[in-house]
Amino acid sequence: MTQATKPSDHSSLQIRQNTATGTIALLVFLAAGVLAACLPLLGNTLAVQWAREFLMLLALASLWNLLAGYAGLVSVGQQAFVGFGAYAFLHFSLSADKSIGQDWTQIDPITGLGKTITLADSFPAWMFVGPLHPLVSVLLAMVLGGLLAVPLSWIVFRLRGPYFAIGTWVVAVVVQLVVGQLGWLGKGTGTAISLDYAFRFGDINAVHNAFQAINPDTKKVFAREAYRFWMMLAATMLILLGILVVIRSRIGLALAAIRDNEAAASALGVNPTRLKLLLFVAVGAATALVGAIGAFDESGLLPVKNFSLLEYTAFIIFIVVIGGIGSFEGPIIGSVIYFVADKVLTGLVGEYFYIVLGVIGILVMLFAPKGLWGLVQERTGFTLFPVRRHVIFGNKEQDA
Amino acid sequence: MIDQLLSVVLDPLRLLDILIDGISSGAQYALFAAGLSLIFGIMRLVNLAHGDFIILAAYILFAISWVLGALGLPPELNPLLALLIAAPLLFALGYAVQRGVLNNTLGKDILPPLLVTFALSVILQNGLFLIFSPDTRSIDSGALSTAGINIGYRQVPVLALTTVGTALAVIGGLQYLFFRTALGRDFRAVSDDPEIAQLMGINRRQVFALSMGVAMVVVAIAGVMFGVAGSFDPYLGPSRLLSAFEAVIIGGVGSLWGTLAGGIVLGISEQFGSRAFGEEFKQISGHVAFLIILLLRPRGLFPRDKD
Repeated sequence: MTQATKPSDHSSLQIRQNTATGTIALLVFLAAGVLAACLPLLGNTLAVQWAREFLMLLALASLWNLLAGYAGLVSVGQQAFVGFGAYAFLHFSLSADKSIGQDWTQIDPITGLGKTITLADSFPAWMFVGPLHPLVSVLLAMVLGGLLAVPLSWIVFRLRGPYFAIGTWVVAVVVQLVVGQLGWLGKGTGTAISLDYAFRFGDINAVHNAFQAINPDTKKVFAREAYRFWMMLAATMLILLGILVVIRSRIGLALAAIRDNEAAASALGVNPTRLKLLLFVAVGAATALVGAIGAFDESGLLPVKNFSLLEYTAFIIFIVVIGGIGSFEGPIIGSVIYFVADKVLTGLVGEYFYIVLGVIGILVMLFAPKGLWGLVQERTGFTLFPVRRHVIFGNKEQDA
Repeated sequence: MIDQLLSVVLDPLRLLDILIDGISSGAQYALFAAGLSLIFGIMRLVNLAHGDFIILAAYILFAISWVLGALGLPPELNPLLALLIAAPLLFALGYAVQRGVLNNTLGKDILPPLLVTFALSVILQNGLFLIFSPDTRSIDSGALSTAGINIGYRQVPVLALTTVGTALAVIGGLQYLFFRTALGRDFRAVSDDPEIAQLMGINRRQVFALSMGVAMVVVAIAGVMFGVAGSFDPYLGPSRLLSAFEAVIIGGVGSLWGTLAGGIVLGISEQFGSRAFGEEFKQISGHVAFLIILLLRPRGLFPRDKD
């Protein structure tokens, strides 16, 4: 992608952003996505589950990195959007129709047993538009996540720096507590989405039939798992490509300018608050989308689980920091390292894993604040997904 | 719901209940918040592990009581005596953490201190979990936990009065330390301008470490009061941090008496919400009160002139 500037006094002046490595990296990235989409064909449930977990980490880490690493918005409350998305998905999977009351199971907190509730008995039927197709549900959850970000921003954007961080946390707790009070969503005691829900829809049945054509023993659960994996894969690919487009665009340039000197950037016509608000809303929407896809699950929803600070923010922050904050590559590397460490080390050291993770996080922050990818770049100047612009004067090239 | 609300608002005795219980839990929040307020005022550092340090202090108390029991002594704990052991321990820990780790993270970028203290929080929670198991613990403090004073229509727990007294003493003490002592002068100097203070011969890193030590003594006091007042488990730190943070913001950053007021506003809101709308609305009411105050008065009730 070569952009020519205005041919004023320097007709030979050109700005180059992409490199050959950049093109290759992008192609490899797209090929990896296509290859990953074939994974369910192996028929291994665990592999598909693990891949989906990894994709969720990768998407959340990249989104948090966009907020904190590029826009300087260090949020500790992204779990609000993950949980909100999950519960929005649950809402759209519900139906008030008594004949399909099977759709809603409330889990008894004491016995752990499920109990079927017919919603129209307790809540007005107009509240329930579902059951909607999972694809429609996750997209609606995304839109609602973006809408939720707007009022939340009114509150947290009044706070600066570290107070912004804790402010987002408080707001996330409030969202969790409010969602936990909503009776039709289980009122904090947990709800499960039944397997029947998914197979109301022709295309998921078609997926099941197609898998059965390959292997007649394929279970419904596996078809649903594969469907969910594809949704997560598509969402993650789109989120990552979207982030790449944003940071390589004028918005990315403006963000870099704000990061270097906010006052100077404002003087040059960048509106920091508007830009940050835009990113906060976009990241909120995308985070809700990821949370919604994650909720398409048989094991059930629980506010303390789906709004987990540890899982959806703390570990995500460690991933980004260890991989390298403020770079596109960092969250990818961090996710791979975290995922492998989680699967290997948790078996070996159990609960010590979190302590080890915390210690590594501190060490990286103290001695390599740009993370592992930062170390690589410092040593080699190598970059896979080029973001910086280089000015070319005739044959001479300079960093811009 | 409206009936319940009216029955609370129109009954002077129930309003008095809200006031009494709100002030006593508010005093506890102020105790949680005083250390946070102090170190933010001095070095603009937000310690995300603050709540976990409070829980750590409560566990130190639990450990002391356990050791007493194991030695065949009566395990009832005199909180003051426990504090004599816990306070120096936490002072040393705070000093060491600041000197060894946190001093290296202070600077223009807000991310390093946030991440490092966040990591400390995760380490502390899981460390306590590994040592003490996830079981809920409580401390036997003898007669103190059950004693009450009769004020005619109800009892006021002695423990509540002790908490209020402790909060007043801690904030008064910090205020004295800050404005009447040589160390307090150093604190104020590095708070106003760390570079100039350094030029004037103040060792900034040393002062920061001492201020963290002092904050941790306050944490020890808060932890002891918390441990005596109820039961606890390794994962309660974050919610203590949030209450503390809200008290600081409501009161106005940098104002210690404001922090006390903030804690009380929070305590009263929670008591009101819990009585007027039901127990499950207790937490939400506190948070919502905080958000409303934040929207109406972003700099808190008693803002400092400069920040």
